[in-house]
Amino acid sequence: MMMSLSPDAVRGLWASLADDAGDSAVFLGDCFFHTVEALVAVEQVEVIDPMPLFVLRAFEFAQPTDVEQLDKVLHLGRQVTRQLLSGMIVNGLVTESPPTYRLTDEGRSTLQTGRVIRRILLRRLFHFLHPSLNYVAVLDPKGNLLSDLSPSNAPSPWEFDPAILREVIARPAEWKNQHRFPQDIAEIVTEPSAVPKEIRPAAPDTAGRAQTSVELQHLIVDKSQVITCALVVRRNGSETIDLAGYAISVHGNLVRSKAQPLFLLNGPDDVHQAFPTLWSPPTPEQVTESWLALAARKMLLEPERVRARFEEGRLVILLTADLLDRWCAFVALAVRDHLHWYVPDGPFHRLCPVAVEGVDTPAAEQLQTLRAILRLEQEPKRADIVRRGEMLRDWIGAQGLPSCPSLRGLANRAFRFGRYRLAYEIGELEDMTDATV
Amino acid sequence: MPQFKVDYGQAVIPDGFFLKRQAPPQPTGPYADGDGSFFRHLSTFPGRSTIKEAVLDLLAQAKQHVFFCNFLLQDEEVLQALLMAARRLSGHVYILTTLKADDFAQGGGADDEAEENFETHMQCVKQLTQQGLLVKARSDCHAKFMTVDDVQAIVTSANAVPTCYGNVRKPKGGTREANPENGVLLYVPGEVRRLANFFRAIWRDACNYYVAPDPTVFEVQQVKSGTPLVRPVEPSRPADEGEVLWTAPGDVRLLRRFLGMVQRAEKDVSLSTWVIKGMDSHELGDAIRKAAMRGVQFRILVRGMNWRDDHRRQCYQLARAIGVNGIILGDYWNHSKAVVMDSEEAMVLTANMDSQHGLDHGVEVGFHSRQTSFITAVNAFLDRLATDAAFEFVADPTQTAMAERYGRQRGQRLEGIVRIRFQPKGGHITRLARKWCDAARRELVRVVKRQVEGRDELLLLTNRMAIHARHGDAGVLISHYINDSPPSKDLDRFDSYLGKGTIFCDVDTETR
Repeated sequence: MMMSLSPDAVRGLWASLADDAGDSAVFLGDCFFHTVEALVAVEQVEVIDPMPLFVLRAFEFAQPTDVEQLDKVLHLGRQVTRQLLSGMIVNGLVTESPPTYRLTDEGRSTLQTGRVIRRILLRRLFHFLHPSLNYVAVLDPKGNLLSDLSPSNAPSPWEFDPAILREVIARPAEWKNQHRFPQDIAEIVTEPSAVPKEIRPAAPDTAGRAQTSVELQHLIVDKSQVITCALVVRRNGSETIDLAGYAISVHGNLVRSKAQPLFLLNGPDDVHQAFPTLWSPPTPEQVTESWLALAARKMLLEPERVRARFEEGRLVILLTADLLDRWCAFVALAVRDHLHWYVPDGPFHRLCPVAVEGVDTPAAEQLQTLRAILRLEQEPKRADIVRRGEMLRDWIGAQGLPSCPSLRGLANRAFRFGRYRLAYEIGELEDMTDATV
Repeated sequence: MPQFKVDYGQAVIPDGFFLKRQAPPQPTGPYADGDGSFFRHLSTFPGRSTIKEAVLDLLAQAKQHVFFCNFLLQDEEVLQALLMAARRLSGHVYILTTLKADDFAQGGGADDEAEENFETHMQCVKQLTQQGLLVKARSDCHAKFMTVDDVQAIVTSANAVPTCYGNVRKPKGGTREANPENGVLLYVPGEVRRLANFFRAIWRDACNYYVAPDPTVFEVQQVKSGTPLVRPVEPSRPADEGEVLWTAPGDVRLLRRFLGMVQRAEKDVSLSTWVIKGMDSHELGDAIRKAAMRGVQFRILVRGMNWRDDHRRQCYQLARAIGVNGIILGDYWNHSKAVVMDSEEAMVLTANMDSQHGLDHGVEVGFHSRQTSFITAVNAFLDRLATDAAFEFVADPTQTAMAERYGRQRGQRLEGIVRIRFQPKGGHITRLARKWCDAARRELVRVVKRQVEGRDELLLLTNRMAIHARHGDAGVLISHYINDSPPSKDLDRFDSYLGKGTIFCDVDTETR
């Protein structure tokens, strides 16, 4: 997918995602997920209805706790009291040893808290990154962002040990809270005998797919899925703060806004565990390959004459004066920090600004002139400066350029670098001065 | 049964028309532009445009800067040459043209289907600005000139459109012949600088609109309204070879020179213009009339546009004024502009003989010289134009002359004995038939053949009436309808004028 992205798309991603502070790094690549679907026991805490709570309280006053004494407290009539007690037996709050009734531990707890814990069985999805098998909470409520992989397309080996899910379920609540893991899951249910008869196959879903039949409810399914992501790693110096993964379309733009990442990882340990190979510097051959790909997209001729290196997070292109002259538009983009590309970084690609440097003195001087042109373009007093030739010559003189270009030379350079308006403003100073008559 | 008879053909029509010349133009040998030490005459005739060659040549030669001013810019080769020059010179190409549809329409616009439209023009402008060229416009600028490096200049009648540079294939088939155009390539240093400074003065302070050079944004921006003054720096005296002249707000030196030439004329004046407008109440028109009265011979070459009433009316007035002391010739596509007086003075200019645009108002340029080589070159061009002209303007033609010599005949023709029998009966039909016959005795009768409900129908149109008829037995036309207020569009398109002959109208007065 990376090779299909244009430099403009790469720049667009960079502009959307990179932190202005400059401490962010953006990686691009395919993220593989073990999307594990398992039957789990979920404990749901509910506020108890007033009537059962009323009955539970009656146990504190009735002695013995049979129907007659309890009804003397409740004044509901023995028939009704008996019905209520039957329901509470089913819910595990009360046991019966005729003719008396006794509160269970759960009943006593409910009496104290006013809440009742329900335990239900559900099939749920859990996402684990491949190959690190780190649990990641994927924020995909509609479930349509990740694509299924056929077994032949899945990375090999593709295995998932259910013990990993059990271990995650067993982790403390604090960890679950930090990693957005559901707090209500008590355990995985893998024995068919543990599946109660009440769990019936549901009706087909809206897409027409049949739900897992009751006989197979206990099975764990590991589905291989993939999504192209931009990984934005925020750093403070060399310390990683967090990582946000964003879904990317085939055109290279964000599928959702920057405020809606697909997943988030907090802290250096989590990031390192989930993506242990990030920050793998490219080899010189990989840098050259990356440069050649960029040159091809920019239709630059003779790119093999250029040396490229990757340093300080930038793809640095070293140009001779003649190439700089021929590739003016490309150079102007790079000097204006408007050109971005990528280099390989382990299984990912790292987005990076493209910088140009001169390999010889003429090239370096040309670059300095171009930077001066760009400064003049941004200069608040530009209109005054380019109004008169003397003013502009003074301004050029103050720029510390090794050789002071003529006005025509500066205009020509501005035009060749695509700074057309400025080129005309400077060019007109001489061209539009009346000819001597 | 009343019968009305009209002897058609001898009546004189108090109007003027471009009619086929009595002696049709003879094929001419190859034409060669004249030249001299300080100039080269330029032209466009079907087959070759030395104007375009010179424009492309100058653009390729430019070393410092190009000032290009043209009312329209639609020619692909010129467009590419401008872009090439800008790439080679790293900018320094300055283009003045039209950027507003209203200004395009005011300046004449396209007057036939092969001439391209404003949208095509703006597409060319867009290509220029997308590739880094700044384009400006002055609303009233109709001039076509260019200067290169302050050392060479072209003044020409030709817009930078394909029809001004050569034959053009029409979209629906056929070929649209090139406009005859003229121009001059100048090497007179002082006068080239005068013209370049004129361009500079417009560019700096006297433009109305511009489109900034930008690969992504194309937007016409207004910079000034109205007609800003043009104040160029000029040489104090003209060069010996000649003088660049112009029309600009408050500066009508082009008109003054033109007038002076006509007023000084003793023998003959030969001039060419695309159109004549407003000369009946203009000092140039007066000067021409006075010169003709003192015996100066005039040869006026125009585009023979019978369909354009304003132009035809002006030609009529002028033709009557110059009488036997001159001739107005017309051709199909003339767009050149020049004047030669007594083989003493000549001028090539971009303005037409138009009182509204060009001589009194707007921005135009010209080059005037008294050098023999220049006069000879301009004269040779006008001679060639006159030789090729297919039409001459005839004031007060007879009906017969109109029938025999009017432009391109097509479709139905009628002449000789024409007998019309009216089917409708009644007194009012008699009155209408009489009225039509009265009109036919003094007006032109146009003949139109058309299909109505699958049947052929003939229309015989006077200025205000129409007889609708069908062919009957023995050559008799059976009229089923006579209309005293036909739609004006029926008068615009007709097959031919009725030929010399006698018309008999038979009306049955019996009522049904």
